[in-house]
Amino acid sequence: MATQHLRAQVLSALAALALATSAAAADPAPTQAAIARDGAHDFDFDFGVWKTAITRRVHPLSDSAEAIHLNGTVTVRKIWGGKGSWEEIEADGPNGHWEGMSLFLYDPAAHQWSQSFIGSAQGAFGGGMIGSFQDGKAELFASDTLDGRAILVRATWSQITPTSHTYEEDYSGDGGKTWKLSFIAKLTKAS
Amino acid sequence: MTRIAHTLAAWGAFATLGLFAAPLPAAAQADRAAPLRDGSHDFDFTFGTWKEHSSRLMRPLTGSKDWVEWDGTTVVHKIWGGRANMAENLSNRPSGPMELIALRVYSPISHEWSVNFATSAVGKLNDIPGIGEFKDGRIDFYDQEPFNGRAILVRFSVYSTGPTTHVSEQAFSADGGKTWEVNWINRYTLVSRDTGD
Repeated sequence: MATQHLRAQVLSALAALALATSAAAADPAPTQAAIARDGAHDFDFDFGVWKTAITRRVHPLSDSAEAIHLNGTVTVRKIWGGKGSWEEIEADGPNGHWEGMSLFLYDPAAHQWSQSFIGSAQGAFGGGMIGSFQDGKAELFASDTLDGRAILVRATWSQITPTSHTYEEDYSGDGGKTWKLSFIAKLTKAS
Repeated sequence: MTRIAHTLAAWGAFATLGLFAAPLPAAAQADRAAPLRDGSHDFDFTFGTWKEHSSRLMRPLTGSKDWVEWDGTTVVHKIWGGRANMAENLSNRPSGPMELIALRVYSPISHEWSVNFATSAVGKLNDIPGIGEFKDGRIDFYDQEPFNGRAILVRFSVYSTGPTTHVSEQAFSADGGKTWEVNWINRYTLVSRDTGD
């Protein structure tokens, strides 16, 4: 983690340097500007209580249409007055009741968000997802394994309105060239 | 295996195998003198809003006696009815404010608690959890971490000192746990059981 963090800081510093240089040239590259923006409030839309309707594909890397459906509630509260947030999920489906939680933290040096997820049945963290917002959409990534093979995981928050948004997870078995839907949740604000 | 879909898949498997009801296979339990106790409510005494007084040894494992003191506030939020909790802290340190969280989670599989920390300055959960269990009203979480270029053992403890007070402390060991130097003590006094949730 220390290495990754250092790398992110170096990248961030390089981006700042590149900005300073290109500002002199009066033509800053748009991607560099995006890296340097302050994203500390990007997840503010998520605060509150939401109804969630979840579909999980049972064999995400195949073409199988087999899926299970769950319905539940997501409660998102602020940490440190809004510099982070924590989310409790509870949902019911064919296998009974399911509970999880996520921690969302903003790294001000890397300008990136991380999501750390934990399920109550396991009671232990694994790694986290890391990424950022762009064009009104959040994409966080991680590497993982599925059935013994290395995959990439992408989590996306999109179609964000004050009263609804969509959360989905996609898996890639080819280094990010193609993605297959694994999990999708449609969230609507609870009254 | 942290992804939600993976965890959901695992949850499905556990439910099918009935592991919810039987946390450990019989063979694993036979090695132990007594069945593992349910520790899922061990942290309940910490729920609420607390005033805090902290003392920290600024240069641990150097022989230094240079302690710094400050006051702070900690809110311990209940998660999943108590099987996890999050201590959200604001410290008014002489060098400037520090915001910290400690997330404590109970594993119904191992019957142990884990603790992970993050600060707002770094904004990322540390990836080495401390692991421990309550004995006689005190929990000691242990892990190994790099410190000043060497691997040391870290102990983080939480214990009650009365109906409206408790303490957390951190200690380091550079000799594999033979001796411990306490380097951070937080003394909490209850303000309210309300957490604003």
